[in-house]
Amino acid sequence: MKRKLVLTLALLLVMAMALPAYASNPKETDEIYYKKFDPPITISSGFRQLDSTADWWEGNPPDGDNPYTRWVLDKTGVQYKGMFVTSNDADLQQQYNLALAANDLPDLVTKATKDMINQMAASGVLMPLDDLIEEWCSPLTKYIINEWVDATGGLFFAPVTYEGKIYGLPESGGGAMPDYPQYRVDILSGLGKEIPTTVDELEDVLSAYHEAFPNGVGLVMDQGLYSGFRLLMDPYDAHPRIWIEGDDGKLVYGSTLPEVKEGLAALRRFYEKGYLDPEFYTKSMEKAGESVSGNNALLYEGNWYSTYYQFNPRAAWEVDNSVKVMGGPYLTVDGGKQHAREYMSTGNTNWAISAKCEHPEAMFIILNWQIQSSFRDQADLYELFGDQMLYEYEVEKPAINSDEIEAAKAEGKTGDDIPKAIRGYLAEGPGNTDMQSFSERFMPIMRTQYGFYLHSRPNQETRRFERFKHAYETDDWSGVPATWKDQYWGITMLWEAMFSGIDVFREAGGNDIVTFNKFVGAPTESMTTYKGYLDKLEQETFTKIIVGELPLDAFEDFVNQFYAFGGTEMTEEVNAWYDSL
Amino acid sequence: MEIRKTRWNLKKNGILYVMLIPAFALLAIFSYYPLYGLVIAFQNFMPGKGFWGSQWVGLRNFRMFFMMPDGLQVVRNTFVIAVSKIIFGNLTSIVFALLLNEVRVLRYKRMVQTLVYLPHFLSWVVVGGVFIDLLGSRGIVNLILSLFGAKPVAFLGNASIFPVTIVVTDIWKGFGWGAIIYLAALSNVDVQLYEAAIIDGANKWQQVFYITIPALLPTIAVVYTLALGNVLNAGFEQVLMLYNPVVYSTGDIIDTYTYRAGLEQFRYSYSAAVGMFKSVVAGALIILSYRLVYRYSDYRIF
Amino acid sequence: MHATKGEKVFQGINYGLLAVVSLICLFPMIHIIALSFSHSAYVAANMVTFWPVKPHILNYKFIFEHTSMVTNMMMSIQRVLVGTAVNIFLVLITAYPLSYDGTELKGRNTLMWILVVPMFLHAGLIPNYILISRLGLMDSLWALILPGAVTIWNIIMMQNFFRSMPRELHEAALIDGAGHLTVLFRILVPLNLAAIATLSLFCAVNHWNAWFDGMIYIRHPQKMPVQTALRSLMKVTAHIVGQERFYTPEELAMLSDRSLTCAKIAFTTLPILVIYPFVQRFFVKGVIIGAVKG
Repeated sequence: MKRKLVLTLALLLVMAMALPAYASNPKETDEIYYKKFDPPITISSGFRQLDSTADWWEGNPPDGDNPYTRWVLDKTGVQYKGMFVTSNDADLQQQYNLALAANDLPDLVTKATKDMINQMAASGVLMPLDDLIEEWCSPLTKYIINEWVDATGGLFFAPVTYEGKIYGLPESGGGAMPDYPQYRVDILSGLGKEIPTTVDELEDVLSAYHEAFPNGVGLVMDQGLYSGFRLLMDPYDAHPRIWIEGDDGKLVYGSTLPEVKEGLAALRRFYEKGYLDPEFYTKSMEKAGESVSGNNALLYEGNWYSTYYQFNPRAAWEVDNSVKVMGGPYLTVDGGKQHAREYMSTGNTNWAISAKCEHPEAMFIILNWQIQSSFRDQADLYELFGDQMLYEYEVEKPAINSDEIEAAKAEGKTGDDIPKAIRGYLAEGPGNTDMQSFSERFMPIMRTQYGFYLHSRPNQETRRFERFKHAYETDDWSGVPATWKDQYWGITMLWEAMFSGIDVFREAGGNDIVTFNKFVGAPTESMTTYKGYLDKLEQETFTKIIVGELPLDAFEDFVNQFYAFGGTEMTEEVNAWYDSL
Repeated sequence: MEIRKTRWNLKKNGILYVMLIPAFALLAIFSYYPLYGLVIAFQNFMPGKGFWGSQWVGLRNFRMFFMMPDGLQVVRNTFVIAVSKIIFGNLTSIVFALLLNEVRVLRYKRMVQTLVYLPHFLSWVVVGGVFIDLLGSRGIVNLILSLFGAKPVAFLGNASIFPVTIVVTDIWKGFGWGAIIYLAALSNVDVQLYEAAIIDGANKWQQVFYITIPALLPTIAVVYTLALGNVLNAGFEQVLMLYNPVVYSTGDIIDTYTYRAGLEQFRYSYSAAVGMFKSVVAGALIILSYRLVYRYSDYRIF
Repeated sequence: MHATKGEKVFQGINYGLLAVVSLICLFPMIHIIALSFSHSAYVAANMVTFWPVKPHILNYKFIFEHTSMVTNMMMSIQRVLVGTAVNIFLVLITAYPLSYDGTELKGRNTLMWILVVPMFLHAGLIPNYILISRLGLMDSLWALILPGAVTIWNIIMMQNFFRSMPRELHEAALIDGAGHLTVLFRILVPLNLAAIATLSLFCAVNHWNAWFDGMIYIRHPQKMPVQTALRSLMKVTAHIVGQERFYTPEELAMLSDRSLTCAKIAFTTLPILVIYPFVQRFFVKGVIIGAVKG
């Protein structure tokens, strides 16, 4: 009896696995959100190739025949045509610029910076999108968009808003967590110290480190004043380089507020005492990172990816396996409030529609389809939207690894037949089948080149990390793609450094402690004229104050110069923008 | 023999005008017609509003150029680089011509000439690419320097050194070609002058000083005077290939500045204004230089 | 004439110096070519000087199979041939009438001024771009040829040459009833072949080396001339990423972005390097003629 049951179950299981593509084929629907153009229409755009060649995904140019364009054509009847194709981003921007000057833009503007969008909107060559969004975005799409609006404090569309109207769709972007301080805890315990939580404790730790390692770098900093700099600004509630709300509710440039001076004072003290690299101001981020890989630094400020990019302790670890890195909390001043800098960005890359486009709704239809396809592993959406979801719910599949691909190729399979052969069905939706998550199914470069696209949800990165962390802690890898185990060379040290960042962020209160840059619009007129010079002035002044070439009071001189040389105009314009939102 | 000038005869000479049509038609379309676009230099050009709809701002764009610190910096850079190229480039060509002139073995002379003319025929894309590799931090030049114990030099990444790099690579590319005109002048020097000098007991240095150099002076004068028209052209293609933001403070020239303002920063009107300013000044300088040359030598351009 | 000891020493130093200078002109290209044939490990370790180390031709294979550079080169050759032909034709038929004085050709001086002004007065990039766009020439060969078809400097030089020809020559022909076209093509041209050949070569080289206009007017990489293609490729930092699936691991180990870039540079230069030695003498002769005659 039991045997029969087992056999039946086994049979069912086998049948389930052998089920054909139906599991991934979308349902039929006649909602206008997913309508197909018949006869097919053409949308022109500007593309960037991977190389100046015809080579791209099975050997076709971006506007030629490839799995992605076939999918779009099949689902929506839209044919892409390249008005211009370039081999790199700079040339692409240039071509857009020229097309703009000649008032001859393609239907779809891709990879546009917010400056471009604002320029184009001001010139009247773009189509406003408010009504189109209202009319053509499916409820699911609108839900995702609203998630982003919430996550960015209402500022999601702000960079592309001109005179109150929306002119583009920002590419959603965001990290998993803000930058956080990362400590070599093995060194700390060697010194008999704990991870510091306040500035004073940090100073204590650094002083001990400096005594033990006079040639070591206590806190790593780079010449651009990116890494390490904010570590000593956040505790004092100082927010240089961004626009924040002052006490009167008006926006003011953070670098000119007195709190910055306190942070500078701390850094200056540290430099004097030798806690910083004496030559930090000559070093790019990469060069500065050499102290970390060279096992010659105590602490650096970075994100989860820093541990395998600029500040890679792996080289040090390979020499000495006792190297251990953990993230520490955002420092405070005597246990006061923690602050962190923002990690979500919006408006750096955007899509827009030319005012001359005949079928603007096509972009939104494509967007609707893409969202359906990308988020079919998000269980909460299925609970909310049930029937409206066109694809069956699926957990992320394990990635197809290169061995399987080679094996399939050896059997003579090519193109779409490969994933079919390996998984037994063709993964729905085009893209690189080496990627396993549906939202990753589109190659990164493709994402920004076609139609409108939202490739992730806010905090998806964070949630991904949490799943990863959970799998690691419970050693239960069933809920995640199996290959994650091998990521980052399976080096535990790096994972712990990464995961600790989430803990730090969560324990501090998550988004509550983040200070957002309130000005996300395109550069104003004065900014275009003066900001380059003012940025340079700021960096030079701050650096010189830190290294002792200028006295601390030079800060006031900087503030005066800032406002004298364009800063006042900039502040006025920024506030005008802020009011218009 | 008396030269009888053909009388102007429409029937016969009409065809001369017909022959001029293609070139002048092309000039009209491609060189003169687009000049209307210069009007954007006096406007606040917005592409959507076009040339007629954009707001008129008079000389504001021009004034802005002179008021901004980087405007004057760019002019200074242009002068420094252009003048350095003219002076040192020609100097190198002259010295090279003098040396080459002393070579008696014709085949050797030909060989050298073949080799030194070569860089002139390479495009700046190629030459730029070559030097970006050679002068990079892992390039062969720094490798050689390190053999002598010197620290690596950022030829293309250090603002103080960059103008030197520009001038030197330009000389590398052009000194051989530039020497041709001097070689031609030298070949015109009467050999008998030398023979007479040797009979009088002059040594090599004296020969060079009293015969060769004076023979070259007219040519040198002409070249330098004509170069006057070029002091605002510091080498757009070259600089565009080799520069980067780190060296803008010394390497940004008027042409690259204009290019960036127009094609990267959307400042169309500003870009047009600066470009126009440069055209006008350069044009005036060219005319001035031609006039000077015409007056003081018999070298007639047209 | 006896060569004194000082003379000999001087000659020795001179020859040596000139040799060094010549080699300096040659070696950078040789170095790049060497890099393009070398194994990536040696390239990265800076062990390549003037001879390839562990040579292989994979970089060039890459160029042929995975870039459009061969097509680009065809475009360049096309441009050179058509462009030069157009240039020279225009030079000849424009220089001839202008070689007459103002008394023989009414308005000649004004015409010269009209000819010369565009040499330094430019409208700027954007009006030109708009024009090409409106004329429907975008992405076509003509966008590269027509704007620069009238080579003003060459016309000026050519009309100088014509002027310096003895008047009797064409006076006689004209009196005999020959038309101006005959005078130009049957008499003047054959007599000035060296100069014309020189100017043609100048035009050809300019066309070959031109890259900036291609960047603006040609919007699809396959149609670009080879110098433009090279330029845009230099802005791409990672060439091999994304193409790994075409190569075995051993092959991938030999390829590197740096040596690939060198190969692209070398490839672009190849035609010039091949043709150059043969035509080099024309240049020198022609330029000397121009310099002396003027």
